[in-house]
Amino acid sequence: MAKDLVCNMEVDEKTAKYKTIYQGKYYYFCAPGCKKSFEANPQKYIGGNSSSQNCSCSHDNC
Amino acid sequence: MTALSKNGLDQVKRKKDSSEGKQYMSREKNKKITLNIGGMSCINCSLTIEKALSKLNGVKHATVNFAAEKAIIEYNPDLVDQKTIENTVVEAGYRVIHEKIMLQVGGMSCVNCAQSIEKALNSKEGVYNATVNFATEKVSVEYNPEQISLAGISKTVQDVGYQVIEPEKTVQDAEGKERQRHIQRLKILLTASVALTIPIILLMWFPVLPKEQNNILMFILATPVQFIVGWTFYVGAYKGLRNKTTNMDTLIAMGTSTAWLYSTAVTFAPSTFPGAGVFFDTATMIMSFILLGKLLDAIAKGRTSEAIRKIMGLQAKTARVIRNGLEQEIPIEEVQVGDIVVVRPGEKIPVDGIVTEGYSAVDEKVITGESIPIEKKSGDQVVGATMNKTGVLKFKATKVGKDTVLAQIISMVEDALSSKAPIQRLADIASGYFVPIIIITATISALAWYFITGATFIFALTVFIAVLIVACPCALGLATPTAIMVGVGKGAENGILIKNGETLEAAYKLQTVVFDKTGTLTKGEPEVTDIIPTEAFKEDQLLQLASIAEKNSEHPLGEAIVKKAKAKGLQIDEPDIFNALPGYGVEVGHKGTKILLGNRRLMEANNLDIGSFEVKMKELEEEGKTAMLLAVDTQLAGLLAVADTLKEHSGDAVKTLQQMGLEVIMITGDNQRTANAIAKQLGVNGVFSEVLPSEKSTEIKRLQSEGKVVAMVGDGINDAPALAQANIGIAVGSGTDVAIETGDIVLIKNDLRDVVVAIQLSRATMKKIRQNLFWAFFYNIILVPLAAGAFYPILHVLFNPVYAAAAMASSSVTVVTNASLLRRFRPKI
Repeated sequence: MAKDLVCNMEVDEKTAKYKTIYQGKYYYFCAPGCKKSFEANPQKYIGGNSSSQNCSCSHDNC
Repeated sequence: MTALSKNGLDQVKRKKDSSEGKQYMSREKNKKITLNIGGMSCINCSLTIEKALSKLNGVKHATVNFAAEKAIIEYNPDLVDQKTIENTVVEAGYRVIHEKIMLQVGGMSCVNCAQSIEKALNSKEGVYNATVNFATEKVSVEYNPEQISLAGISKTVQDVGYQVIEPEKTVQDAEGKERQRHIQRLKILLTASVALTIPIILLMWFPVLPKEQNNILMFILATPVQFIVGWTFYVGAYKGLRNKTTNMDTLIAMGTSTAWLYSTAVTFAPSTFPGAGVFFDTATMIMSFILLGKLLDAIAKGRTSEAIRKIMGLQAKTARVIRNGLEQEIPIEEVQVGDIVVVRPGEKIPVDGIVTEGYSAVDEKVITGESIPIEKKSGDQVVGATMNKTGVLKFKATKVGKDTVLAQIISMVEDALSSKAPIQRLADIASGYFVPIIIITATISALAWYFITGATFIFALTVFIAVLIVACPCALGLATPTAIMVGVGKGAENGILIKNGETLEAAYKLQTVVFDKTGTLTKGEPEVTDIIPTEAFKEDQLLQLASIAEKNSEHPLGEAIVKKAKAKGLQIDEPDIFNALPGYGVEVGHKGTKILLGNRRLMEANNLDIGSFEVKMKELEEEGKTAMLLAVDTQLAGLLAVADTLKEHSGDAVKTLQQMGLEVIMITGDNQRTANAIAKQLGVNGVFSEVLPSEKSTEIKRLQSEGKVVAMVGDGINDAPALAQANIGIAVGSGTDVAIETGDIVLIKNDLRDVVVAIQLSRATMKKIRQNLFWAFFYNIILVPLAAGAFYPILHVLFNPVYAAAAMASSSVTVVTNASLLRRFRPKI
């Protein structure tokens, strides 16, 4: 399982609908909002200081 | 000049009024003008202008009305002039709007008349610039409507002695009728003149009566020719004198009058001239020949403006519009923007608009020169004056009146006609001095023959008349305008609009042609150029997979792939999952498989080895193409390449220009590799790559600083500054959506071969102008001395004044005919 770095949710790489590549590495997301936030400022999320407060998605369990 | 004479007037007035008190005086001293201002977007702008104007020394008060877009300035003309005031407005970043009007003037018999009208108009207050085209009989006036009215302009022209044909009626019909009337009048005069001349010649050779009575009979026949048929020459000469100028009429009136006066004197006082003969035949034959020349001239002039009149006659007269749910036919002038217009097959489209309903083929040849009809459906643009061929079209009018493409083309063509090639100025200066010099030459040579060499009085008189008659300022005046008229008309017929005479001269000296790449040499949108699948896939299959992957992409490269798949009739499924991977490509899920489409790095990120495809990919990139790899799940499926491709005729155009001895350069904002790849395909002489749009004009300037005469070819929108900087800016349109204001030459068709045609046509026109000017000068330089008897000591023949008249008549006909030969121009491409 991979982690949505934006909202810290667990995402399955095999079924994940939203993903992007940054510096040659895939990142997976729970929703388009998270993907957008990540692409806008990837450095902010891959630094590791992610928190659920940053979630911009509309997922219930987010 | 204007300001100066005005000042003088004001001073005189002030002196006169000084007794009436101080207040009145100060009011007299200041002048008030109103200017129409353009370019103001807000009230702040009007304040800017006010402030700038108030700072000027001599401006007492300046108010700018933002809503009315007018500036009212009170100033002291002793301290500041109108030009400075206007310049200040322009320097502040705004425009002073000058109105322009084209008047049809009747009664101009020679180029000197044109000059006297110009002189009179240009000295009027409120007139910025007036140019008269003698060949088209049109006066173009740039003026400030706040200072001088249209009626005032007409009056000025009438005061110098010419008729103004109502400006509203300047349409082709009135012009054609006026010309016909003129030709008709000349025919009547010529017939009368010939009818009286023949018996005079017979009486000269076969006198039926004794000498004295015979002379009286000839006097009776010749006098009506001299004063009724020849009246127009006296009128012309008188008009000239009143404006302190001389013209061809002066020469003819003087020459024939001399012959008539001498003959009359011999007739009635034979004892004073013992043994002298009369030559009434000379005067009347001169009249006949000159009238014949004028008639041929008028006919040939009509022919040179044929193409122009054809364009002006293109507009439909009525339009069928739907108003209040009813279809009704109304005059074209009443069509308004937003009206729904109905056009049946075989009818002309009346105004410009956008199709709302229907489907048809429209023949746009009259505007674009393109002979194949264009299909029109809802949403497409239609242009006034084009012909609806097959179906009923309903369209919404978007441009009417003087905003239509046709109206703009007409006004551009008219502007071109009233412009002068710089070379013409030489002829203008020469013709200003021409007539006085001829009169002096005639007098001096006659006196010299009589007093110095002791020739007979008749000999001296013959010389005097011959010199006056043979000289022809008309050929000089007609040389340029007739050629421009034919050249510009020919261009307009082919969808090539040439804006002015300077362009023609610059085209003649052209050395370098710079083409913008994207959208000018190339189509401006990427196209799929290569599809290379692996063994496991077919070409169409690869394209189909790629189009599914790109179906939801907004990237231009993706759009090119989808377009190509659609063109091939492939079915494009909606993907289940779509992920755009910025900087890498796209990844989609489709029926359980994963499709990857993107660059090398996308494949690397998925641990896919591109192996042998690397070589092919490099090759495509060297050609300036963008190569994309496609993989299905974990298997590489192939390679697709996309590139902006050349327009069909770009190569031909470049090659022909080079054959014409021109250097061809390509300019682009693209990177060097892509630029070089395209440049190699075209075989251009040079490439300027990675040039920012704003730097294009700097590059043109640099070429010019090397002493080159440069033409720039671009789309007229993005390249406007570069087009303006170049010696000739050539704006390439796309069909009927033309930006006519930009460029010295506007190509309506999106076909670069027209660049070649435009340059060839300009050169051909310029060549005609030069030929004409050469012949006009050469003719006078050879024939005036011949008439003066300069070759008499060697040849022992004297130039008969009758031959002089024939030669003079034929010279201007030759010039006009030579110009109309340009109608046979065929481009070589």
